[in-house]
Amino acid sequence: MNEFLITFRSMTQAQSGQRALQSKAISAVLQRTPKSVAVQGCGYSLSVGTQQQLLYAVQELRARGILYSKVYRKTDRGALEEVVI
Amino acid sequence: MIYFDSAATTFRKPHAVGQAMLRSMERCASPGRGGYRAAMEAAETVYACREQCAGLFDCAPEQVVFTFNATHGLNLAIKSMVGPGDRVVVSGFEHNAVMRPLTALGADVVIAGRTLFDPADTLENFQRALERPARAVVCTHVSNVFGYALPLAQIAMLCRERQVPLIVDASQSAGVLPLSLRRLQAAFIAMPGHKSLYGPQGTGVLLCGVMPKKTVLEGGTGSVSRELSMPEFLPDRLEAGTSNVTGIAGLGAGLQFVASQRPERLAAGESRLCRLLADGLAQMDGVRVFRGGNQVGVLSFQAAGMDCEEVARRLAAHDIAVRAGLQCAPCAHESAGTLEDGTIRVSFSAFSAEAEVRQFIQVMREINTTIKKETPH
Repeated sequence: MNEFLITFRSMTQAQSGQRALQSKAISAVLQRTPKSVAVQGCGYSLSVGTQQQLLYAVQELRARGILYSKVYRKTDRGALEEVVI
Repeated sequence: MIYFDSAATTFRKPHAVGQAMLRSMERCASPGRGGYRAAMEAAETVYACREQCAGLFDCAPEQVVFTFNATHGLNLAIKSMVGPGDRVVVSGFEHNAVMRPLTALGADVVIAGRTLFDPADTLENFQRALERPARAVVCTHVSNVFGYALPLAQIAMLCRERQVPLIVDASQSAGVLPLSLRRLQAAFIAMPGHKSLYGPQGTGVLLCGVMPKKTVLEGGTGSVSRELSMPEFLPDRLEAGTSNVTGIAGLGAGLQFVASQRPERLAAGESRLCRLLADGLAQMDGVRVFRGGNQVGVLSFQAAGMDCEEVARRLAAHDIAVRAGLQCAPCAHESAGTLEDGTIRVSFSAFSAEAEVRQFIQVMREINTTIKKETPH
């Protein structure tokens, strides 16, 4: 099963992102960013379930000027790989 | 009790405010500090309130910074951009929440426009003061002593033309007059949560039109924790330490009330009571009423022959709450020529009633008659 994480620098930015995606019926779960990729320390992420959702999500965030940091794919073994879109 | 001190704090709150606070205390931990349910519910509570503020004041949720009151917000705003010797233009009706920080910073304060209820004079004086460069303009929207609504839109336009950052003290206007951060293009707008937004004491909002250069308070934000300087993004840059989640929950309920009642309707109601009271007081011998065409929800008066605090004391004996003295705004009193005697200030909220105003007039008439009898000829 695929899982993608869109990371944000702050809770508020992640919440704004979540609201934007909700308004487009894109389901995104707000969660803490795993420490392994939270290079600057604590952060929050939005998790989406499919690659299609991820593409819609990133498009929507960019369209609204909501700043996210990076995008990751969670591998079957739980590791995180950066995805460049 | 007849409570007519809403310019200090609205005492009667919508029932939902207390309920929201109680719910928050039972369900919310600290926002942005964990991924567990209680932390996430706290974060949702805080963000929902940011969204409501953003909707009411025409800005993005990230531009909404929660403070403890308007004074806190004004200090954050002023101290982020003003330094010793900087020339700062203010109106003649500022509260000490503006004047004291500027004085503490050693700013060169220029007062523009001291004529009460005269927007043309106010504007002309701002124009004149801004003929020379200024570091900032700090201006109240509505005088907390006299209810005079200054021509803020035109002052903001002057500031934009001259590229001078504008800091607005919206303590008496937020929730009753239209206020748009986007339209004013102000650097900052500070407001309390506990007045006409009907939140609890200990809440306030600072709307940020610019990224603050300097911070006043540094600490944990739950974000970019490895950085030892404050985050370069809002609202985190100005929100160090644990948020007042319970207060913010109450403020959210207060904002819902304001939105449901509509600010323009609330303002119309308060203005009507203001006129009714002014008419009643003006008929009393020796009573001087400060009234004008641009008055919002606040009215000051003096009773000849009696100390303003004594009038307030006698009103309190009838269980009527007003504020007497200088109302923390000596600058405004100096402008109006009332610095030595002070005034008795009456201020309204959505919960003030016409019957209360009529009763106030009746009690004040009795007090005034007594004054006349007590005053030696």
